[in-house]
Amino acid sequence: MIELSHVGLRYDGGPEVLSDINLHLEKGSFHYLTGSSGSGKSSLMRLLSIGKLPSRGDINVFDNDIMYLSREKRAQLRQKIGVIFQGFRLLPHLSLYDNVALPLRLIGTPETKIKSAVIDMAEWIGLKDYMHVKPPFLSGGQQQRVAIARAVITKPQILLADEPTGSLDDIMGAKIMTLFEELNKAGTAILVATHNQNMIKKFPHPTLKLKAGNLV
Amino acid sequence: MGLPSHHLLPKTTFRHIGVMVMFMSIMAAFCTIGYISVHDITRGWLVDIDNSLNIEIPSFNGQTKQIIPAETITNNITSIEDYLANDPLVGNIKIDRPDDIQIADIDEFAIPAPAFITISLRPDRANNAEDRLVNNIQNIAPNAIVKNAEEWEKSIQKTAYTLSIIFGGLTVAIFIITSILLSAIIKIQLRAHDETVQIIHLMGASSRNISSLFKSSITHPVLIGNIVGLGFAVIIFSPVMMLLNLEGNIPIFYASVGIIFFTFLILCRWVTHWTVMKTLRSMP
Repeated sequence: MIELSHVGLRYDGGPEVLSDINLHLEKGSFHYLTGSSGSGKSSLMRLLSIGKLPSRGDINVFDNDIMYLSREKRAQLRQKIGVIFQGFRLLPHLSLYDNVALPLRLIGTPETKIKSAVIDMAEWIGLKDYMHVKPPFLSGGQQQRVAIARAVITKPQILLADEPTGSLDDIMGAKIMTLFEELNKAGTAILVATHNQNMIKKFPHPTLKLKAGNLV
Repeated sequence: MGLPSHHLLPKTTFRHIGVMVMFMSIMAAFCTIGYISVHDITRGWLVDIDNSLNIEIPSFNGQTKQIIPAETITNNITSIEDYLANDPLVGNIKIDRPDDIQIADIDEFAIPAPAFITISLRPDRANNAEDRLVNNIQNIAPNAIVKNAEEWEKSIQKTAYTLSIIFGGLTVAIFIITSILLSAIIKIQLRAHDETVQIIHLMGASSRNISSLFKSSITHPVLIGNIVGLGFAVIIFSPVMMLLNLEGNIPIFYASVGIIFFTFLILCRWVTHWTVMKTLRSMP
């Protein structure tokens, strides 16, 4: 599904923040990505979400070498990847409905289909009564659930979640992880970047560990 | 991409563009009026000048350094007048003859004023008729200086050409300044909405999609600015054109306003697209 071979990444000619990364994420897999702050977790997530191109090495996404694709084609591939950003990154001037509908609008889905999909999604995350509320008026846990709904509404083949439970208490964190387990059972590959060891113990899956830009 | 702009960028994001386009469209309309006026007035002048002939009967002979006697001047005028009265080419004669051509009134330092005869020629004259008239006048009064419109025409045409370049150049400058300002605004707004751009980019929007988003966002303020600015220009400048007897050119003015409208619209969309694509070129 996504394969990285000898991938390195540096920003603006600086030192490599990721060195010689080899990684293969298969369909329906569930992995954790751990590492201390500055180990390169977010950079790796950016590479996996095609938000950045590597300085060296190859990245193969859905049988496409992204280095040889046009920008339009890369954009189409990104539409198949769900991303949950660190700190939610919801658009504050849009309602819950519009935030969740955004990826569907991006791919040109008709408004009638968007409406039913967003209602289903809001029901799944338990926020059906908050459809027209804007993110600043939602709690951290609610915002996180909206971010998840936005990431999965297009039924992506892989979901990348960067510190999805970082700012949540244990109960809310467990609820979020349960949502991920449900998605994974439905066939979505999941990679969760986290340093929450309790959660890893409670929901055990293979762990990828980054140390100073290297997978160990 | 079915991404209505109001879902992503607040309505107020590009309001400055509307004000800018309004101001610039008024300026462009003003330059158009200037261009039209110069052409129309010049054309009128050239027609008038082309049908006139000026005869100067000097009161001072530059070669002999002597003042020409008043009698000679009077005789010259009378002879020319008599001749012109019978020439079928001449339509109207205007004589500007000083009343005081008297030797006694002239002190040793002063040179008396020359006499002038201005002739209106019939517009339907034959090609060589004017040359024949000039020769005949110079035969009757050898010291008379006959000037046709050629030199004036050149001077007026040169002035008109210069003014046309100035007005045309100003119009082009207005479009260039608008493009530069718009590009700067788009860059500022791209930075101000960097978070939104980053998010929709990661969701699968290409630079072209983001460009479309910005283009659709600027279209409304550009349309409003254009309509208000050019509407104001039409309301203000149409009566001015009538006052300047340029009412025959009002259809050309309206056509020019239409061209300005579409030029601003197309230019703004193109500049927006170019700026977004250039600014986001580092995105994969």
